[in-house]
Amino acid sequence: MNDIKLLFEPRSIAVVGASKDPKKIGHTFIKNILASGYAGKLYPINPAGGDVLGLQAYPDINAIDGAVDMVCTTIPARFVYDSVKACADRGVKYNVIITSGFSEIGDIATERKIADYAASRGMRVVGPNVFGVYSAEARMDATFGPGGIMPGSVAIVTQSGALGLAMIGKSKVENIGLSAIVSIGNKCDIDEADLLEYLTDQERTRVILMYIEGIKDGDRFIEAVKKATKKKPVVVIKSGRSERGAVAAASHTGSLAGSDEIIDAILRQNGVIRADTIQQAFDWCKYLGNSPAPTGDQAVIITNGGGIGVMATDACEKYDIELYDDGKKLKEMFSPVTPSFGSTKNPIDITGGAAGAEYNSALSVALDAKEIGASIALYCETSTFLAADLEKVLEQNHNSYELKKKPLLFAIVGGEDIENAIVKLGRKNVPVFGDVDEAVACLGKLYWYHRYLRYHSELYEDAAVPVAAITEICTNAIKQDRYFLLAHEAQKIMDLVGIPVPKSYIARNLDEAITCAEKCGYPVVMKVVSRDIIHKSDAGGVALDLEDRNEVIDAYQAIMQSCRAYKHDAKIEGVEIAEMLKKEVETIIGARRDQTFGPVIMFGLGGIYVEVMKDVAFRALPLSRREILNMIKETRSYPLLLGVRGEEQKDIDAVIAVIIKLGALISKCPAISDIEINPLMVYEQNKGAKAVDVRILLAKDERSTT
Amino acid sequence: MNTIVVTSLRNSTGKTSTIVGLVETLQKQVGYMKPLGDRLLYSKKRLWDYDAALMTGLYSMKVQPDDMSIGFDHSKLRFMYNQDTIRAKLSEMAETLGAGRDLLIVEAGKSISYGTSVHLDALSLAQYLGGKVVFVISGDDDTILDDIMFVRRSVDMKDIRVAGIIVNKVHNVDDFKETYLPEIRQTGLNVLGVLPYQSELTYFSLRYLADKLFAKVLNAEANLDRKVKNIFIGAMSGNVAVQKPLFKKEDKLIITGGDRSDMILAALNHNAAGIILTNNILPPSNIIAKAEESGMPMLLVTPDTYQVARQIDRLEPLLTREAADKVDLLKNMVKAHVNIDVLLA
Repeated sequence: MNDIKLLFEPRSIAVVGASKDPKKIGHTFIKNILASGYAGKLYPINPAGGDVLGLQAYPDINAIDGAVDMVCTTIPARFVYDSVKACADRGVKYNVIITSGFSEIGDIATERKIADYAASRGMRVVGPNVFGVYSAEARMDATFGPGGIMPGSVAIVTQSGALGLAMIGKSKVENIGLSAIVSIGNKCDIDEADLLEYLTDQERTRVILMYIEGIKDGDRFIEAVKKATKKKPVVVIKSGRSERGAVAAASHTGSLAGSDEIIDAILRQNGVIRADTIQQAFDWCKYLGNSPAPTGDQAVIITNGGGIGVMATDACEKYDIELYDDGKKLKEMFSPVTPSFGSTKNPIDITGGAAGAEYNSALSVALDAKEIGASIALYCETSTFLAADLEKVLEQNHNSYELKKKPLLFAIVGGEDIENAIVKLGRKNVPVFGDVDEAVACLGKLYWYHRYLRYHSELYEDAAVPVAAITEICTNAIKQDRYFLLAHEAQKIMDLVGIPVPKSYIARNLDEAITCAEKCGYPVVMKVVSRDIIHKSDAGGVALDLEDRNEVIDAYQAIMQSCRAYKHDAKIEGVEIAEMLKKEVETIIGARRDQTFGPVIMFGLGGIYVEVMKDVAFRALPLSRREILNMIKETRSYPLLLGVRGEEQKDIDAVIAVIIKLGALISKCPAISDIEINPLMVYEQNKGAKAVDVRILLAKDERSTT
Repeated sequence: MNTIVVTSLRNSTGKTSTIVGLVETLQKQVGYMKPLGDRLLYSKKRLWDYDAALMTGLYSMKVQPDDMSIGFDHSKLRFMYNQDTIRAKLSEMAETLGAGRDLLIVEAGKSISYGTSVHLDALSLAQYLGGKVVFVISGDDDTILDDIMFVRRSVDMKDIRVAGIIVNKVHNVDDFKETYLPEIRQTGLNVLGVLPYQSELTYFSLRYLADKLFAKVLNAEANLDRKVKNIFIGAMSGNVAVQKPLFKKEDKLIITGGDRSDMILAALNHNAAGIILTNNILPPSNIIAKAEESGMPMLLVTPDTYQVARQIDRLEPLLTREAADKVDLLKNMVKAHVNIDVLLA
């Protein structure tokens, strides 16, 4: 396998399709590579020969004497395969296929042929349908962009070529220097994971920005992104949704797990910051790339206006920034620098009369205070502190904070002068924003990322799973041409992994149902057992709280008749009789094997309205205990577990234990595609949780059971 | 006390509706029982037959509907009774339910053979209770003739008394009488009456649909008694749907996915009686609020549109106690077309 470094730092480049005609992309390539100051060898290739921008053109790749690390292919699609073949035979390491007209318009076969041939000769392919590669390290602009890319520390990986070119332009406006920019287009070979491999270890790159539409190999992507975020922030703009419909899935977990929810959870879980807009992504990249880490968990707001201070406080809550709130300490620190009619409560209100000196004093106090991890300075335009002075004060404070490696950012609001100041300071990389929310969002993401770094190294939780015994149960079901387990089989599996289930028995007729109910002890629950009825409640297949023999007899009749009416051809195996549990907090835990990302787990509010309430959170497996708790806390109904209206706290540890066991089960048993416990009845602390209803679906891929 | 056992050869011939018509017309104290329930309702751990509940509701009978049926599922009946004990149970019920009544109407199961293995088929009921059998026969003309001939030739009636036949749901009564009655009379079976087909009797109420489909009622519960006369599957965009003739009809029910806001809005704008939202997809809250405002009930169900349509297609349009207009219609039909004297003879 070729070293990915050669894609970003090639010693020699050939441009297939290099042209004298300035209108041709092949011409732009040569022009940009030359203009960017590339020091390696550059070979224009054009069968017509001659010279291109002063360089001798070669008729084909074989006419070049030396080794060629990278080829940029800019010729029409119909010639690409032959050219790729020649390059691969010639020992080229990387072929960046700029040409479009392959899988993106339906020609999957040619693209596959190109990728296969290249792979057979050990040549890696970027694209097709890309704009090229820019690398500050090699001073190489091998793109057909507008040129003049500003070198810097942000690397951009984009699936969209057009958006990538637009981002080059925007990076200049935003004064963001790039360490690299690559478009990956149709991803016939090289994908995000390959590029991350290089960018993660490259020192010049301090932040990675990715635009992603779809992910092909989720496992590789997760691994690569996980490694990257350990070293530097990764900001992702993810658009598009997979074709997988949510509505028709057989399990609640399936129907709740739209691919975007899963991707969102996985990105967050692996330390990726997801931006919704390009502006957000640029703001965050610029700030994260330049800012030191917070020196403590709590921040301070310094303001000259009450209203803007309240807005910032709200934004801090929104972006999960903790504000330092030791009133006594704050008074001690800030009284000397705050007018008597101001406020030393965080936000520190140095009042509308504050000018440069007052800001300097207050910000210095915050800089020196070890209790304060970051500062947010707010300014509303006043006649006492003019924009020209403001610029100086902001820059000075920025430099002081930078020197002492403590984050500081500014939100300033006012007229034309203030707007101009924002632009000027922005060019000097002083983090100044014209909107409070934008400023606080940047600090929020910085805190979030550093919190991730602090906790990500925790150990993943695991549990013992008797795989052989479980696989045998699954295999027996599949032998009966059944791709889901019956209630008693699912319960057997719960027993094997140690997830508590209510006592239950299967009765094949009324006689047995009565015997089982008596064995179980009243009150009991009765549920239909049928391969054809997945949602039992909807079919009238569940009867609760049956307190005596007569109620069991009536319920049996009702279930049989209702289920036959619901699905007249349903094969009813019998009924399950289970102990009736005391009603407590009903939760749902689902685990499934996602086609792209592998095993994922879901937690949320359970019961029959689960799909209506949609109060669930997802994570990719494996998980640390802290991440499991974060997933639980993410749901709106988390307070129910803490106990509301005077109730006692519920057994959250028991929920975590079930999540760990279910996670281990789906990860280690490839025969299982979906598991869902709904409800998992969660009792008071130390009283555990019980899996009331368990649904297990099997993978249809036969290989999974072998 | 006279006892009649009402039976049919097939499901859904209109036995219960005919019984209601008879009770209304007879103007006598009538008792009712349905020993083998087949329209089961189960709620709060109580189990009863829909028809039994209808009769107690319509005629303020003091007895509970649960006490009008012995059982529903064969498994229970086999488990709890044998021929002797079930006969004893039947007699005991007849005595209780018929006490102080001029006539006891016993409704048999969904077809003449239903319940034979547990001794609760129509002929056993008639034999054990000494009642006269009334056959309610319906279908197209050929089916009616086939069934009547089958009764004459193949049903062993040596130990039972037959009151006669009521032919139901006939589209052209005069034509039927003229064409077929002479042939039927030749069989020796007494034709008590020929009842016309009435489309009004085939309409559902939204409440009935909600119960049968285990639907969650999202709003406008007060309007669940609205009638459904037409059903429209909203499988196209709202603006195409509104151009369809069926969509312009009154009292229509729309079946569509919960994510089809366009179709829901079209239904709201065109005064649909109600809407069934499939796939368990909850519409946005502003849509629910709009539906609540306009009073159009929305019923949320789990199955997909195809399954729901099939389920509704299989549903029997049952009489409800609130449907006074239908009861009146039945009364008038029986009064005009059935010779009821035989039943009291």
